Amino acid sequence: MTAALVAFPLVMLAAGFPVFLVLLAAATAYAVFVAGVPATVLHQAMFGGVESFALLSIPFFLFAGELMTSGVIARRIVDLVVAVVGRLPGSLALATVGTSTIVGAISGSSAAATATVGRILYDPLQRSGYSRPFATGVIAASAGIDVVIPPSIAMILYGVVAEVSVPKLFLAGVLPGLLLAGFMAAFIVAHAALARMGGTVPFSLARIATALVRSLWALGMPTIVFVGIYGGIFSPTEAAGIACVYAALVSALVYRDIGPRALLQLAADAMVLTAQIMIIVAAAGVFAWMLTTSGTPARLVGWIAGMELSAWQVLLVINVVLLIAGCFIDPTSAILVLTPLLLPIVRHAGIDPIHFGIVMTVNLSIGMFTPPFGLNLFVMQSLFGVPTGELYRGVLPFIAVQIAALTVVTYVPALSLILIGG
Amino acid sequence: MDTSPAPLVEARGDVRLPGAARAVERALVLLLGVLMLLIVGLNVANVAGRYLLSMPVPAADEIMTFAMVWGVFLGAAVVTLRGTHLTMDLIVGLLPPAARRAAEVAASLALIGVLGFVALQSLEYIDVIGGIGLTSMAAGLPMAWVHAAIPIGFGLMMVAALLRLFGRRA
Repeated sequence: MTAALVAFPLVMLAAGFPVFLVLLAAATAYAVFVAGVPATVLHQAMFGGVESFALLSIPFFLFAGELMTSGVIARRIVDLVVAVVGRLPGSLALATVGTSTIVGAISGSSAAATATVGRILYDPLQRSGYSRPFATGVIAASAGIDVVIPPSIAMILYGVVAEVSVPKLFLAGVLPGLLLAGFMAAFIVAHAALARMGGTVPFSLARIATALVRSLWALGMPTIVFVGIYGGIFSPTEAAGIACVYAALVSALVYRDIGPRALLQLAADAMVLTAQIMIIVAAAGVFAWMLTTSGTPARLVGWIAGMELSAWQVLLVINVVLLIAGCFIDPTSAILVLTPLLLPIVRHAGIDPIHFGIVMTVNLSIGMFTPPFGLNLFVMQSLFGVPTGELYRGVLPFIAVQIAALTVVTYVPALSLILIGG
Repeated sequence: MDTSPAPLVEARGDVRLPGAARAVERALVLLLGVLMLLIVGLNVANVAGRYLLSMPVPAADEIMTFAMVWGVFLGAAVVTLRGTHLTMDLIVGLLPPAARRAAEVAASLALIGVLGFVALQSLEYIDVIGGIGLTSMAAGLPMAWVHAAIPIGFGLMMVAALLRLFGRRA
């Protein structure tokens, strides 16, 4: 019976059944055939899974991201970053990383960032001499950083499941996010220097100042979110809601690129995206109930404890598991399904749950662009028709770079914990 | 307007649906937009009320959360109709078209069966809390109305799955 409970969901997942349905079906089968409890528990666990004020920040951040990543705002951020790094070798590729990092502080969606940044920089990158695989790789991989740079949907989900503070997770993600960007930048500069690629524009303070002024409205949003949360003015959920209003006002009044009709359409899009994520949260609520009642996490802990692994070995094993999982499933599903299983193991090994949240997020950010199921790869494919072979070849070096950064994030907990005073 | 394309929200367009279904979808999407704007508005009113008038909107947190719950289950019906649920389609993508179609049919039937069963449990639960007149803590709303989001959303998802199952292949 237990074997059937494991095998059946895997078969359904492989057959392309929706993830939420697989979780819900497994839990339903368990409740009816194994646990023998009144099946109304299914409804209760599902409702409890989504009825949470903390999760309300997900629709808010998705809506704000939809509003702020319109063409005008992203283009101004690109101009700013190009003005700052223009003199360096590989400046346009660096600008891709820089823009994705800043867009990450505005929107929580890595796939949307791939599309936004890709649309602006894919052609210019190739015109300035980068091969198609390289241009594709740098765009898809930089957008992965958005999963780690707060505000991050993945961290909100982890915070709710692991019962740790979301503001702390956001703050803990800042340095690791910048480290990922730094590793990417170093690789790009080295690559450009070897290929003898020069800069695009000369360094000029006046140019930077102009670009900065032009992008001030866009940069205002992360400022409001951060000052609001850490100044103790708003809760993270409230800050996300205020960010929506700010984004709507800036788009409507300053950049004048959306009207009331478009606002309603974007609001609806944000709600549909929310439903796509949160229906998995609901099903994961039932799945978590099943795991807990069946004592699976406790058995896993016992099994791992029996191997007498040290903390660094546990982290190594978990990293490999997460990297593989990230290749096949999206960060939302991975966090919701794996956190209840892995967290007890991690706690038992004496690893800080905040640090572990960051390790998990970085892992899954790499999963955004690892073949075969990295979502950003599909975005590049659907937008620009990049052939699969070139796509895979393009991201390979960046996967190596990001895994190097992941190793640092994993084995230097201080990087994640120093800002939260841990 | 150059909005981010958000590839996940776009329909795959492989199924042609009757005009009536499209009209219901449009109405549902409109409702979702209004819900989203309502939640955002309530949040601002709450924060502004607290700081400017030192009078937060009563029960705002609770009402916003309930509106989101409704948005999620109604929105899930739109996601089902568009065929854009998150899946792991690596292995099924390698299969020949006939096998892929068979897997799709199996998924639709499983969705209808499982959601139908769970929706019945929901109705039973709602019957109980409706019977004892359970209300929410802050706003005093009947909790049966809030919980009804699940059976109603699941019902719509089942209809959406049926429409896709029998929709003409484009």
